Formats: sequence, structure tokens, C-alpha cells
Amino acid sequence: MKSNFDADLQQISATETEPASADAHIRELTAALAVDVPADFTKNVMDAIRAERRKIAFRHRMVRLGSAIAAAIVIVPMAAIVLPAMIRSEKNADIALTDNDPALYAPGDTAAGNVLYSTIRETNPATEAPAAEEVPPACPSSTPADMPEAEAPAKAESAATKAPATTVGAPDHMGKTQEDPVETPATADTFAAETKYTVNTVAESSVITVLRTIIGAEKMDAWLADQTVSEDTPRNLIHAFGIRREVFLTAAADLNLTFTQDELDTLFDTPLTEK
Amino acid sequence: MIIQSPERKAVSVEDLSLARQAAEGSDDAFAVIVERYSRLVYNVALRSVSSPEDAADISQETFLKAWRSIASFRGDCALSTWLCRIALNCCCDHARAAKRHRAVSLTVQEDEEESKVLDIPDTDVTAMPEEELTRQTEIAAVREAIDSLPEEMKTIITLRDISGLSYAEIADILRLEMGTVKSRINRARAAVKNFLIERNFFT
Repeated sequence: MKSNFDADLQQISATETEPASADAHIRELTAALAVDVPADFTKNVMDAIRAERRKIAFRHRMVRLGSAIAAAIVIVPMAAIVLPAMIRSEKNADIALTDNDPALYAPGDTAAGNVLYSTIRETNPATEAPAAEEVPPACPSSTPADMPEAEAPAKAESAATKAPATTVGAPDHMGKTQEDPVETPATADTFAAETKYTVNTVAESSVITVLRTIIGAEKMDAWLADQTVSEDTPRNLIHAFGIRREVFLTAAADLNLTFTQDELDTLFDTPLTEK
Repeated sequence: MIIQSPERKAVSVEDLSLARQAAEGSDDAFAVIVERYSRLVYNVALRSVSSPEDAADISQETFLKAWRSIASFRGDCALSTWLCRIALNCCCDHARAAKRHRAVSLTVQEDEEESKVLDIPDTDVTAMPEEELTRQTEIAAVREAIDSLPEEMKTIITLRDISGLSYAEIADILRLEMGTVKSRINRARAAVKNFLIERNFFT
């Protein structure tokens, strides 16, 4: 089949000159290779774009949902652990304040003594002191120097009755501290009210306070655990632990407590009674 | 009004405006872009692959990629240049993927494959005028000649002689010097001519 194209090519091969018509013809044929796009091409492209947009929006929603779920998985357990711990630590901080009252414990002694006090506490209404509105921060001097002796017992009794009925910072028999929102510092009167030892005078409770300071709460409590508490208990403690008069007076002075000569003589010079 | 970019083909204000509207989410603006440049992109893709279906897929992928990154088009080149670059990249990706997953058709028979190469229109040839039949045969021969060229020459002759882009546009697309573009086009044309002569395709 002869064609114009074929004739051009033969001409080109025959001579070395490049006929412009051959090249032009090839270029024209080459240009004819351009084809139109399929009829629905634009529609297909736009449909694909809309599908892509929906996919992107869905992916964003999933990412947001996933982040929310991940946050919930992490935060909720953490809150369940952290919040109760925070609440507990706040409660413990409150309890610790009342345990460190120096009037009641020797330096360094805190809750150990309280545990023993509560174990020897009797649930005997007679021994419980009536509720007091206010407890003085430190036990006052047993007898002011210029006060007549007759007035001292009356004042002592009124002071003794001021001891609060409820434990202040002292745990119950199970070792748990009852909730007492009133921050009244423990005093010798408080201690006396919460033990089996019946305080007849303010002096006796002050003696116990001084002895506790000297001996240490833990040691004293351990010793008291084996004893029957009576009015001889202070003297028994003095002799058991070998406390000298000078040491006792020094400790009393540190606690702003004073004792009469008779009281001191009773404590240190009166022979021990049989238990 | 044309915005002149130094040493590059200028981007038209209209194209820039369309691109910005499309970046803001206007589907209509992007549809106009597709209508305007789909033939260019499709013919670039068609020269790279063997079937019109693959060419349509590559073209669609080109416009999808363009849509995703339309906000990054700053107008420092013509929109046609930008789209052609994306199309050529998609063709490369397709070629790489085709190499990895060589697919064998289960339905196409061998004789159908041969007739596809010449890509003679599926019409009753007996009813066709002789001149038209000759022309179709010539076109098929040229197509075969171009398909036999190395990729580099195939691309450049497609952009120049099939898609009708200027030397400046081609230089911009392929990031070549103008002289290099002209030289490569001459060599590509000579290669096509030699192919036709050697094959003696036309008897």
C-alpha cells in the first residue's frame, strides 16, 4: 500500500537532504496521537475528591475519639489513685499536729504513748471527765505561791473538771484516732482523765507529766502496762526509774510546773508501800 | 493579565485565582481546573502506560494529589507546568509499582494484544476509505515508534509534539535548560524517523 508517508521516507533515504515535508508529516501524525479524555473523567475526579474529603473528616473524628478514650483510660485510674491519697495525706497532717503537743509528751514521743493510754482506758463513765469547752495549753503551776492551801484543792478540782471527755489526738482501743475537730492541746489533766489513775489533785497530774517527760512516754507506758495504777504510782515510778529530786525539779521547771515542799517530800522521802 | 515570572512560563491570573479558590474549598473552581488541563495530563499519562484505563487512573491520581496540595501552589510557575510535574511523578510511581507487581492478563488473548499495539480503531475496515485507513496505519506506526523510545525522549516528544507545549514550558516542567530541551526533541524526532525507516513499516 503506497502512501504519501512512504514516499517521503523513500525520498529521505535516497538523498541526504532532509525534506521538510517528511518531518512535518511525522509531526502532524504525532500530534494526531493526542486523544481526548473519557467523557466522565471530570465527574470521576470530583467524586474521588469528595470521597477523599469524607475520608479525611472521618479520620479526624476517629483521632479525636481515640484521644478522648486514651485520656479517659489514663486519667480516670490516676484520679482514682491520686485523689484518695491526697485526702488521706491531708487527714494525717491534721492528726500529726495534735500528737506533738509538748505538754503531754517528752520530746520525740508522739503517738506511741497514746496507743498505750487508750489500751488502759476504762469505759467507766465515772472516770471520764465532763466535757470542757477549753483546755489550757499547759498545766498551770499546781499551787500559786501566794494562794492559801485551802483554795488549792478547790481550784485543782475545777481545773481537773475541765479535762475534755473525748480523746484529743489519742487513738481508741483499736489504735484508731477518733475524729475530734477541736484542736485542744493535751495536758496533764487530759492524760489523767483518760487513764485509770484517778487524779485527786492537780499536783498528782502534774507529777505524772514531769515523770513522763523524764522517763519518756514509751518506757513509762510499758512500765504502766504491768502495774495496777494507784495513788502510789508516781512514787513507784520515781523509785523504779531512779529519778532523783534534782532531776525532777529541773524537768518541772522546764514545764513551768512547781511543787510544794510537802509534795516533793511525799514523792521522794515517803517509803514505798507494798503493791 | 499575565503575571510575569522571570525565566519561567508565566502563570495566568485566572489560573492563580482558580487555585486559590480551590484551596479555600471551592469544588467548582477545581472542576474548572480539571476540565482545562485533563487532556494535557491524560496524554502525558497515556504515553507512559500501555492502556487507556491505566492512563485514566494515573490522571485521576494526578488531580487528587493536586487537590491535596493545591494550597501549596504559590503561582511561581504555570498551573499546567505544576500539573505536568505531578503527572510525570505519578507515571514514575506507576512504573515502579508495575515492575514490582507484574500483572498478566488472564482474559486478553495474544492476537488481541497485537492489535492493541497498533491501536487501530475498532471499526469495520472494509467500510473505511483507503486514505483514512492509511492514515490510521501511519498513526499507529508513529505511536509504536514513540513507545519504543527511551523514557526521557518519549516524555519530551509527548510534551512538545503531542501536547503542544512550548520549549519554555517543557524546560520548566523538566527543569532543564532551553538548549537541552531543543536538543533532546531533535534527537527524539530523529529516533522516530529512523524507527520508521528501519522497520519499513510501510511497504
